[in-house]
Amino acid sequence: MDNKQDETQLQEEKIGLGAYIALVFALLFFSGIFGEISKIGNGEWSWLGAFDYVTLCGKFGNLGALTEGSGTLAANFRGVDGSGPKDAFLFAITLIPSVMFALGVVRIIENYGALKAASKLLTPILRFILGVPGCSALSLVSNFQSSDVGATMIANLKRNDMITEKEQLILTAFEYSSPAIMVNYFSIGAAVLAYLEIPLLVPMLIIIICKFIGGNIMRIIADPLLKRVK
Amino acid sequence: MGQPKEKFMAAFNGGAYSGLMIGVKNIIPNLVFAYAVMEFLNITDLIHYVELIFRPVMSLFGLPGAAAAALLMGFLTTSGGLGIVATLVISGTITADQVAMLLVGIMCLGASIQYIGRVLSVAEVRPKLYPVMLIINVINAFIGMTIVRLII
Repeated sequence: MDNKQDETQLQEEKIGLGAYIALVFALLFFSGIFGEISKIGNGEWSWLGAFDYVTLCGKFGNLGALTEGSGTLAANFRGVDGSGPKDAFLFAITLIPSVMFALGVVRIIENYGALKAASKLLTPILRFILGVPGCSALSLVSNFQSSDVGATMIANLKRNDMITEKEQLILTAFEYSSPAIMVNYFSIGAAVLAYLEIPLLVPMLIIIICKFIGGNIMRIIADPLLKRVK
Repeated sequence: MGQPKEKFMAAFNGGAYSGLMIGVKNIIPNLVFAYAVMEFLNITDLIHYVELIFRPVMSLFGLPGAAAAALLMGFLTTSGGLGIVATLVISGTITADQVAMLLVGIMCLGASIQYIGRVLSVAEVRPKLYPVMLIINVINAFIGMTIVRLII
């Protein structure tokens, strides 16, 4: 048992510079900022596009070329003016490459401990911004990847009396809105991300802010609510 | 020397594979469902009644009534709701800014029905409080859409 404790301590100490670098890289890669910079000027900065997720995703090939006035070609194999399940199927297929690429990169940065770094940054301020103890940090951060893992951690924290019922409700309210956002934003969100004209991560940031708002709404109403229910 | 490289490729491939599975198990089926519903609403012209009924609420956010179809679908399935947003922007019914608004709204309340089992029940919250949690998600969506409207 002592060996296991030493091992976990060692692992925790290893959440060092690499993890924070991975976190910063992830934010820059997905934010779209390098993509924007690469477009300015006469192309001196175009190489920066290689560090931008959307740019790196590439594009499907054109269906060919038409002489002027012959009509229009669809941009890719999805065609134009499709509808119903048939159109939905091809549309979904056009999303899959970007989704695979995004989640592959996300898995790598997770591997380098970026989310543990985020969790460490969050812990000291959790009491202030959400009214929950620091031990909930890992559940919160896990919720960014997986609805099930975060929720299981809440149940465990409560069963081990590490959080009160009020704190359990606050955490659940936070986690219930847009669970697994880091996964879903790039996978399920892919359907609309291409149409955004603002930086890619701005809506995600707003959603995360709303999660904190939801948690704080529960923070306010939890006491009277529990009195009514008990 | 071999190990870090293996970790790297194994990690990427694992993530990419999970992305493919999400595509196959979630995105494709839910989009098929949502587009079938939209086809039904369009053929029967019922979409106009959806627009009429929800125009008052949607206009609070500067959205057309048809956006309500996306939000309502989003309650059931996030991919489905966002798929409807995609059709709305292609048909010119909504603008790119409104896409951002609906993205935030739909993700905040997305799949609330499905997540009752996967989050609320697993976290062992009292079932009596499930409706409150649902309402908080809807409030989150409205606040989120308002924030987007204000900053864009």
